[in-house]
Amino acid sequence: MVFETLNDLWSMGGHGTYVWLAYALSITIFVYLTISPIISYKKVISEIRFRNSSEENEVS
Amino acid sequence: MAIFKIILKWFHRFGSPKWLMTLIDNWLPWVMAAGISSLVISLVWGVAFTPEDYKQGHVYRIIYIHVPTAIVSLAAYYFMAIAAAISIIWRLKIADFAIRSIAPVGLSLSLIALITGAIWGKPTWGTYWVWQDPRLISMLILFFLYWGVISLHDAFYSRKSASKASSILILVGTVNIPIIYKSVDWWSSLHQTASIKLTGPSTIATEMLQPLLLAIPSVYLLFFAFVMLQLRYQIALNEQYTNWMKLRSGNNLKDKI
Repeated sequence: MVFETLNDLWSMGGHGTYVWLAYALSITIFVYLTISPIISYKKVISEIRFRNSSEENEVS
Repeated sequence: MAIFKIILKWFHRFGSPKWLMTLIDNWLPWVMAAGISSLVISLVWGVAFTPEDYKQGHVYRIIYIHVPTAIVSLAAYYFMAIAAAISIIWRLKIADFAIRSIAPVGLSLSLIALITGAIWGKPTWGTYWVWQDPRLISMLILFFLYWGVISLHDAFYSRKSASKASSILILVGTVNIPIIYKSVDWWSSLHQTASIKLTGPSTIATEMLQPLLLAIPSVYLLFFAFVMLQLRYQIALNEQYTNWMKLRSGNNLKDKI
Protein backbone atom coordinates (compact mmCIF):
# COMPACT_ATOMS: atom_id res chain seq x y z
CA MET A 1 0.00 0.00 0.00
CA VAL A 2 1.22 3.51 -0.79
CA PHE A 3 -0.32 4.83 2.44
CA GLU A 4 1.62 4.22 5.63
CA THR A 5 -1.36 4.15 7.99
CA LEU A 6 -5.08 3.53 7.59
CA ASN A 7 -5.59 7.11 8.70
CA ASP A 8 -3.57 8.28 5.68
CA LEU A 9 -5.69 6.10 3.45
CA TRP A 10 -8.81 7.71 4.90
CA SER A 11 -7.60 11.34 4.66
CA MET A 12 -5.64 10.99 1.36
CA GLY A 13 -3.68 14.16 2.05
CA GLY A 14 -6.85 16.24 2.39
CA HIS A 15 -8.59 14.75 -0.65
CA GLY A 16 -10.22 11.87 1.23
CA THR A 17 -13.68 13.46 1.28
CA TYR A 18 -13.76 13.82 -2.51
CA VAL A 19 -12.40 10.35 -3.31
CA TRP A 20 -14.51 8.44 -0.78
CA LEU A 21 -17.66 10.42 -1.59
CA ALA A 22 -17.21 9.63 -5.29
CA TYR A 23 -16.75 5.92 -4.55
CA ALA A 24 -19.61 5.76 -2.03
CA LEU A 25 -22.10 7.36 -4.44
CA SER A 26 -20.99 5.14 -7.34
CA ILE A 27 -21.30 1.97 -5.27
CA THR A 28 -24.75 3.06 -4.02
CA ILE A 29 -25.92 3.42 -7.63
CA PHE A 30 -24.41 0.01 -8.50
CA VAL A 31 -26.25 -1.59 -5.57
CA TYR A 32 -29.50 0.06 -6.66
CA LEU A 33 -28.98 -1.23 -10.23
CA THR A 34 -28.63 -4.74 -8.84
CA ILE A 35 -31.47 -4.78 -6.32
CA SER A 36 -34.24 -2.85 -8.08
CA PRO A 37 -34.68 -5.20 -11.12
CA ILE A 38 -34.49 -8.25 -8.81
CA ILE A 39 -37.36 -6.90 -6.67
CA SER A 40 -39.45 -6.03 -9.76
CA TYR A 41 -38.81 -9.48 -11.28
CA LYS A 42 -39.76 -11.30 -8.08
CA LYS A 43 -42.96 -9.27 -7.88
CA VAL A 44 -44.00 -10.39 -11.38
CA ILE A 45 -43.11 -14.03 -10.63
CA SER A 46 -45.13 -14.04 -7.41
CA GLU A 47 -48.12 -12.60 -9.31
CA ILE A 48 -47.84 -15.41 -11.89
CA ARG A 49 -47.57 -18.00 -9.11
CA PHE A 50 -50.62 -16.53 -7.41
CA ARG A 51 -52.63 -16.78 -10.63
CA ASN A 52 -51.34 -20.33 -11.20
CA SER A 53 -52.56 -21.43 -7.77
CA SER A 54 -56.00 -19.87 -8.17
CA GLU A 55 -56.37 -21.50 -11.60
CA GLU A 56 -55.60 -24.86 -10.04
CA ASN A 57 -58.15 -24.27 -7.30
CA GLU A 58 -60.85 -23.60 -9.86
CA VAL A 59 -60.12 -26.92 -11.63
CA SER A 60 -60.28 -28.99 -8.44
CA MET B 1 -29.53 -17.30 -50.44
CA ALA B 2 -28.42 -19.80 -47.85
CA ILE B 3 -26.84 -17.02 -45.79
CA PHE B 4 -30.18 -15.20 -45.55
CA LYS B 5 -31.83 -18.37 -44.35
CA ILE B 6 -29.17 -18.75 -41.68
CA ILE B 7 -29.60 -15.13 -40.54
CA LEU B 8 -33.37 -15.52 -40.49
CA LYS B 9 -33.11 -18.76 -38.53
CA TRP B 10 -30.73 -17.11 -36.10
CA PHE B 11 -33.04 -14.14 -35.69
CA HIS B 12 -35.95 -16.47 -35.17
CA ARG B 13 -34.14 -18.23 -32.38
CA PHE B 14 -32.81 -15.01 -30.91
CA GLY B 15 -36.25 -13.47 -31.27
CA SER B 16 -37.70 -15.95 -28.82
CA PRO B 17 -38.00 -14.52 -25.30
CA LYS B 18 -37.97 -18.04 -23.89
CA TRP B 19 -34.58 -18.78 -25.44
CA LEU B 20 -33.21 -15.48 -24.15
CA MET B 21 -34.51 -16.21 -20.65
CA THR B 22 -32.66 -19.55 -20.63
CA LEU B 23 -29.52 -17.77 -21.81
CA ILE B 24 -29.84 -15.22 -18.99
CA ASP B 25 -30.42 -17.98 -16.41
CA ASN B 26 -27.18 -19.65 -17.48
CA TRP B 27 -24.98 -16.58 -17.84
CA LEU B 28 -26.15 -14.01 -15.27
CA PRO B 29 -24.54 -15.47 -12.11
CA TRP B 30 -21.15 -15.91 -13.81
CA VAL B 31 -21.06 -12.49 -15.47
CA MET B 32 -22.20 -10.83 -12.23
CA ALA B 33 -19.60 -12.66 -10.12
CA ALA B 34 -16.79 -11.96 -12.61
CA GLY B 35 -17.77 -8.29 -12.87
CA ILE B 36 -17.99 -7.69 -9.13
CA SER B 37 -14.74 -9.48 -8.28
CA SER B 38 -12.66 -7.85 -11.01
CA LEU B 39 -14.07 -4.41 -10.19
CA VAL B 40 -13.29 -4.85 -6.48
CA ILE B 41 -9.72 -5.91 -7.36
CA SER B 42 -9.16 -2.99 -9.72
CA LEU B 43 -10.67 -0.39 -7.33
CA VAL B 44 -8.64 -1.59 -4.32
CA TRP B 45 -5.56 -1.64 -6.55
CA GLY B 46 -6.29 1.83 -7.88
CA VAL B 47 -7.18 3.40 -4.52
CA ALA B 48 -4.44 1.99 -2.33
CA PHE B 49 -1.62 0.59 -4.45
CA THR B 50 -0.88 3.19 -7.12
CA PRO B 51 1.51 6.13 -6.66
CA GLU B 52 0.30 9.66 -5.89
CA ASP B 53 -0.03 12.04 -8.83
CA TYR B 54 2.65 14.75 -8.73
CA LYS B 55 0.18 17.49 -9.66
CA GLN B 56 -3.23 16.40 -8.42
CA GLY B 57 -2.23 14.42 -5.36
CA HIS B 58 -4.56 11.59 -4.36
CA VAL B 59 -7.77 12.99 -5.83
CA TYR B 60 -6.94 11.56 -9.25
CA ARG B 61 -7.94 8.13 -7.83
CA ILE B 62 -11.50 9.01 -8.84
CA ILE B 63 -10.32 8.10 -12.37
CA TYR B 64 -10.80 4.38 -11.65
CA ILE B 65 -14.56 4.80 -11.42
CA HIS B 66 -15.03 7.94 -13.55
CA VAL B 67 -13.38 6.81 -16.80
CA PRO B 68 -14.79 3.23 -16.95
CA THR B 69 -18.38 4.36 -16.24
CA ALA B 70 -18.09 7.20 -18.78
CA ILE B 71 -16.72 4.86 -21.48
CA VAL B 72 -19.38 2.20 -20.88
CA SER B 73 -22.19 4.78 -20.76
CA LEU B 74 -21.17 5.82 -24.31
CA ALA B 75 -20.82 2.22 -25.51
CA ALA B 76 -24.21 1.41 -23.94
CA TYR B 77 -25.78 4.03 -26.18
CA TYR B 78 -24.38 2.29 -29.27
CA PHE B 79 -25.74 -1.05 -28.04
CA MET B 80 -29.12 0.63 -27.50
CA ALA B 81 -28.95 2.21 -31.00
CA ILE B 82 -28.29 -1.22 -32.55
CA ALA B 83 -31.32 -2.58 -30.69
CA ALA B 84 -33.35 0.41 -31.92
CA ALA B 85 -32.34 -0.25 -35.54
CA ILE B 86 -33.26 -3.94 -35.23
CA SER B 87 -36.53 -2.97 -33.58
CA ILE B 88 -37.43 -0.63 -36.46
CA ILE B 89 -36.31 -2.92 -39.30
CA TRP B 90 -37.37 -6.39 -38.09
CA ARG B 91 -39.85 -5.45 -35.31
CA LEU B 92 -38.17 -7.93 -33.03
CA LYS B 93 -39.74 -8.16 -29.57
CA ILE B 94 -36.38 -8.88 -27.96
CA ALA B 95 -34.87 -5.72 -29.45
CA ASP B 96 -37.58 -3.68 -27.77
CA PHE B 97 -36.91 -5.37 -24.43
CA ALA B 98 -33.22 -4.59 -24.95
CA ILE B 99 -33.96 -0.87 -25.47
CA ARG B 100 -35.99 -0.70 -22.28
CA SER B 101 -33.31 -2.68 -20.41
CA ILE B 102 -30.21 -0.80 -21.58
CA ALA B 103 -31.68 2.69 -21.02
CA PRO B 104 -31.85 2.63 -17.17
CA VAL B 105 -28.36 1.09 -16.94
CA GLY B 106 -26.94 3.72 -19.32
CA LEU B 107 -28.74 6.42 -17.36
CA SER B 108 -27.15 5.27 -14.11
CA LEU B 109 -23.66 4.94 -15.62
CA SER B 110 -23.80 8.43 -17.15
CA LEU B 111 -25.04 9.74 -13.78
CA ILE B 112 -22.03 8.16 -12.03
CA ALA B 113 -19.69 9.68 -14.62
CA LEU B 114 -21.28 13.13 -14.11
CA ILE B 115 -21.27 12.96 -10.30
CA THR B 116 -17.72 11.64 -9.96
CA GLY B 117 -16.57 14.18 -12.54
CA ALA B 118 -18.16 17.03 -10.59
CA ILE B 119 -16.57 15.83 -7.32
CA TRP B 120 -13.21 15.57 -9.08
CA GLY B 121 -13.67 19.04 -10.57
CA LYS B 122 -14.00 20.82 -7.21
CA PRO B 123 -10.42 20.34 -5.96
CA THR B 124 -8.75 20.39 -9.41
CA TRP B 125 -10.69 23.07 -11.33
CA GLY B 126 -12.11 24.89 -8.33
CA THR B 127 -15.70 24.27 -9.41
CA TYR B 128 -18.18 21.39 -9.56
CA TRP B 129 -19.72 22.43 -12.84
CA VAL B 130 -19.25 24.89 -15.72
CA TRP B 131 -21.94 25.48 -18.34
CA GLN B 132 -19.37 26.51 -20.98
CA ASP B 133 -17.60 23.17 -21.16
CA PRO B 134 -18.61 21.11 -24.25
CA ARG B 135 -17.61 17.75 -22.71
CA LEU B 136 -19.73 18.37 -19.64
CA ILE B 137 -22.71 19.61 -21.60
CA SER B 138 -22.67 16.81 -24.19
CA MET B 139 -22.44 14.29 -21.35
CA LEU B 140 -25.41 15.94 -19.64
CA ILE B 141 -27.31 15.65 -22.94
CA LEU B 142 -26.51 11.91 -22.98
CA PHE B 143 -27.96 11.63 -19.47
CA PHE B 144 -31.17 13.38 -20.57
CA LEU B 145 -31.34 11.26 -23.75
CA TYR B 146 -31.40 8.10 -21.63
CA TRP B 147 -34.01 9.70 -19.40
CA GLY B 148 -36.03 10.76 -22.46
CA VAL B 149 -35.93 7.24 -23.93
CA ILE B 150 -37.28 5.75 -20.69
CA SER B 151 -40.02 8.39 -20.31
CA LEU B 152 -41.05 8.15 -23.96
CA HIS B 153 -41.12 4.36 -23.84
CA ASP B 154 -43.26 4.35 -20.70
CA ALA B 155 -45.61 7.02 -22.05
CA PHE B 156 -47.21 4.65 -24.59
CA TYR B 157 -49.71 2.01 -23.65
CA SER B 158 -49.02 -0.04 -26.79
CA ARG B 159 -45.59 -1.69 -26.81
CA LYS B 160 -45.33 -1.31 -30.61
CA SER B 161 -45.83 2.47 -30.59
CA ALA B 162 -43.50 2.75 -27.60
CA SER B 163 -40.69 0.92 -29.35
CA LYS B 164 -41.16 2.86 -32.59
CA ALA B 165 -41.13 6.29 -30.91
CA SER B 166 -38.21 5.55 -28.61
CA SER B 167 -36.22 3.91 -31.46
CA ILE B 168 -36.49 7.08 -33.52
CA LEU B 169 -35.37 9.21 -30.57
CA ILE B 170 -32.44 6.84 -29.93
CA LEU B 171 -31.27 6.87 -33.56
CA VAL B 172 -31.44 10.68 -33.76
CA GLY B 173 -29.57 10.96 -30.45
CA THR B 174 -26.71 8.78 -31.72
CA VAL B 175 -25.17 11.90 -33.25
CA ASN B 176 -24.30 13.02 -29.70
CA ILE B 177 -21.88 10.13 -29.08
CA PRO B 178 -19.04 11.16 -31.45
CA ILE B 179 -19.59 14.75 -30.24
CA ILE B 180 -18.95 13.68 -26.63
CA TYR B 181 -15.96 11.66 -27.71
CA LYS B 182 -14.38 14.43 -29.81
CA SER B 183 -15.53 17.45 -27.75
CA VAL B 184 -12.22 17.74 -25.88
CA ASP B 185 -10.30 17.88 -29.17
CA TRP B 186 -12.67 20.12 -31.13
CA TRP B 187 -13.23 22.86 -28.56
CA SER B 188 -11.12 24.26 -25.78
CA SER B 189 -12.43 22.85 -22.57
CA LEU B 190 -11.63 22.53 -18.90
CA HIS B 191 -11.83 18.79 -19.32
CA GLN B 192 -8.50 17.26 -20.27
CA THR B 193 -8.03 15.32 -23.51
CA ALA B 194 -8.03 11.52 -23.48
CA SER B 195 -5.06 9.92 -21.71
CA ILE B 196 -5.61 6.49 -23.15
CA LYS B 197 -6.00 5.96 -26.86
CA LEU B 198 -6.65 2.90 -28.97
CA THR B 199 -4.18 4.23 -31.52
CA GLY B 200 -0.87 5.55 -30.24
CA PRO B 201 0.75 5.52 -26.81
CA SER B 202 -1.09 6.51 -23.64
CA THR B 203 -0.06 9.61 -21.72
CA ILE B 204 -0.43 8.10 -18.28
CA ALA B 205 2.12 6.28 -16.10
CA THR B 206 2.02 2.50 -16.50
CA GLU B 207 1.46 1.87 -12.78
CA MET B 208 -1.58 4.14 -12.84
CA LEU B 209 -2.80 2.71 -16.14
CA GLN B 210 -2.83 -0.98 -15.18
CA PRO B 211 -5.72 -0.90 -12.66
CA LEU B 212 -7.65 1.35 -15.06
CA LEU B 213 -7.24 -1.21 -17.84
CA LEU B 214 -8.73 -3.80 -15.50
CA ALA B 215 -11.53 -1.50 -14.29
CA ILE B 216 -12.82 -0.83 -17.83
CA PRO B 217 -13.62 -4.48 -18.74
CA SER B 218 -14.97 -4.97 -15.19
CA VAL B 219 -17.53 -2.21 -15.67
CA TYR B 220 -18.37 -3.72 -19.09
CA LEU B 221 -19.04 -7.07 -17.39
CA LEU B 222 -21.17 -5.39 -14.73
CA PHE B 223 -23.03 -3.50 -17.45
CA PHE B 224 -23.94 -6.79 -19.15
CA ALA B 225 -25.00 -8.25 -15.79
CA PHE B 226 -27.20 -5.20 -15.03
CA VAL B 227 -28.75 -5.38 -18.50
CA MET B 228 -29.46 -9.10 -18.02
CA LEU B 229 -31.19 -8.33 -14.71
CA GLN B 230 -33.33 -5.71 -16.44
CA LEU B 231 -34.04 -8.02 -19.40
CA ARG B 232 -35.17 -10.79 -17.07
CA TYR B 233 -37.71 -8.40 -15.53
CA GLN B 234 -38.83 -7.06 -18.93
CA ILE B 235 -39.34 -10.57 -20.33
CA ALA B 236 -41.23 -11.75 -17.23
CA LEU B 237 -43.43 -8.64 -17.30
CA ASN B 238 -44.29 -8.85 -21.00
CA GLU B 239 -44.59 -12.64 -21.26
CA GLN B 240 -46.38 -13.26 -17.96
CA TYR B 241 -49.49 -14.71 -19.64
CA THR B 242 -47.60 -17.21 -21.80
CA ASN B 243 -47.57 -20.89 -20.96
CA TRP B 244 -43.81 -21.21 -20.68
CA MET B 245 -43.67 -18.34 -18.20
CA LYS B 246 -46.45 -19.97 -16.13
CA LEU B 247 -44.61 -23.29 -16.14
CA ARG B 248 -41.32 -21.62 -15.27
CA SER B 249 -42.80 -19.75 -12.32
CA GLY B 250 -44.41 -22.81 -10.74
CA ASN B 251 -47.22 -22.76 -8.26
CA ASN B 252 -47.65 -21.57 -4.71
CA LEU B 253 -49.78 -24.57 -3.71
CA LYS B 254 -47.39 -27.18 -5.06
CA ASP B 255 -44.56 -25.71 -3.04
CA LYS B 256 -46.55 -25.90 0.17
CA ILE B 257 -47.46 -29.59 -0.33
